[in-house]
Amino acid sequence: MKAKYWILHYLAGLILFVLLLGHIFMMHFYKLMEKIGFGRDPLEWESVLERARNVTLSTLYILFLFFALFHGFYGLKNILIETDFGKRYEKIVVYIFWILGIFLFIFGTYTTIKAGGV
Amino acid sequence: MKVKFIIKRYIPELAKNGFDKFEIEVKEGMTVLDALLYIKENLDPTLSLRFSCRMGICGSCGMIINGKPELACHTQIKKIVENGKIKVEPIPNLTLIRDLVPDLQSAFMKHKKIKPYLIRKDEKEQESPTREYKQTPSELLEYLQFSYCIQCGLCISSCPVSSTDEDFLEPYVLAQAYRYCVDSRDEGLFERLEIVSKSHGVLNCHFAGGCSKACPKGVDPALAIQLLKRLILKKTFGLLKEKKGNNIVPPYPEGPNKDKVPKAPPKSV
Ligand code: SF4
Ligand code: FES
Repeated sequence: MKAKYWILHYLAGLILFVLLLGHIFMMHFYKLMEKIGFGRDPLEWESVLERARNVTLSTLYILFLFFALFHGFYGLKNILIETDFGKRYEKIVVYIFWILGIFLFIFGTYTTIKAGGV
Repeated sequence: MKVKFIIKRYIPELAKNGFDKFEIEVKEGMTVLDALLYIKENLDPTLSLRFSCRMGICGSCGMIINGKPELACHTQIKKIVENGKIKVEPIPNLTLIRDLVPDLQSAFMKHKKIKPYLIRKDEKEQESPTREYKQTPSELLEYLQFSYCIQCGLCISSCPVSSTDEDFLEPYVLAQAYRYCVDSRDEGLFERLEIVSKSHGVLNCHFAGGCSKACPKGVDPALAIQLLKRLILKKTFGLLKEKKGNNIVPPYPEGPNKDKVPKAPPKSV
C-alpha cells in the first residue's frame, strides 16, 4: 500500500507543476493575454465570478486542492517520521494528517461549489 | 616523516570522550591501520579499533579519516596526510561502543530482515541442496557489482536518512535486497519487495547519493536503490511477474571417459 501512496505523491507533484503553470499564467500574465485579445484583470469582481461559475475551472480547483493536500501532507508525514518524535507517534501522525486532509478537502470543495452559486 | 594522529577516544566506563594526539614516525607504504596498530602496541594499549583481514575484504576497519569515510587498511598515510596531521574518527550514525568501534548490530539485524539468501519455493532443495543452480554469465552480471559489498558500514556514515532515522533500512541493506531480487536463481522477489517498501524502507531514500561516493568497493548502493524503486513501480502497476528461479544443474553424465580418470593417491596422513 505504501508504494501506491508514494507513486501518487510523485504523480501529484507533476500534476501540481502543470496546474501551477496554468495558475501563474492566468493570474500573473493576464496583461500578455489582454494584448492578444483574451482575458482581463483576474482580480476584477466579474472575473472572479466568471471563474467561479466555470465548471471546468471549478473542477480544476478541486483537483488542485486534492493533489496539493495529498502532496503536502504526505511529504510532511515523511519528514516527520524521520524524526524521533514522529517515529514514536507514527500512527497518530498518519491519522491526524488523514483527518486534517479529508476535512480540508471537503471544506475546500464545498467552498468552490458554493462560490459557483450552486 | 613524522605524522600527528588525532584520534577520537570514547571510553564510557572512564567517562572519557574527546581526542588524543600521538606523533609517530611513518614509513613508506604504511596504512592508517598500520599506524593505529603501532600506537596500540607501543604508545597506548587501551586504544580500541576493529580490523581483521588488513586487505579491504572483511569490512571491519571502516572509519572517518580526515573527514572522509575510508577503510583504514586501504588508506595510505602518504596520500591523505594534511599539514602533517591525520584525524581519525569512528563511523557516525551508529551507536559507539568504544573509541573507533561502532556497533554494527542494528545494521546486521536490518540485513537479516531482507532475507539475504536465495529463496526457493522448493523448501527441501533450499534446506538441503543437492547440486548448484544454473546461471549464465549475463545473469551473473545483473547483480555482480552489488555482491562486492563487504558490509563495512561506510555508506551508512554518509547517508543523510540514516543520520536522522535510525529505523531506515540502510543503503547497503537495500543494495543487498536488490542483489537478491535480480538473482536469476532466486524466487523471493515479491516477498522482498514487500519488506523494503514498508515505512523506513527504500521509499524513504532521499537520493543524496553519498552512499555511492563513500563505498570503497564500487558497489553503488544509490544505483541499486533506484533500481529497486523501479521494481516496486513496476510491481504496483502489475508489470512485474514473480520469477521462476533457474533449475538445478542436472547430474553429471556418466561419460565413457569416467574409467580413465586416475584414482586419487592414497592418504598420506
Ligand atoms: S555498500 Fe559499500 S560502503 Fe556500504 S557496506 Fe557495502 S561495501 Fe561498505
Ligand atoms: S581490516 Fe579488513 S577491510 Fe580493513
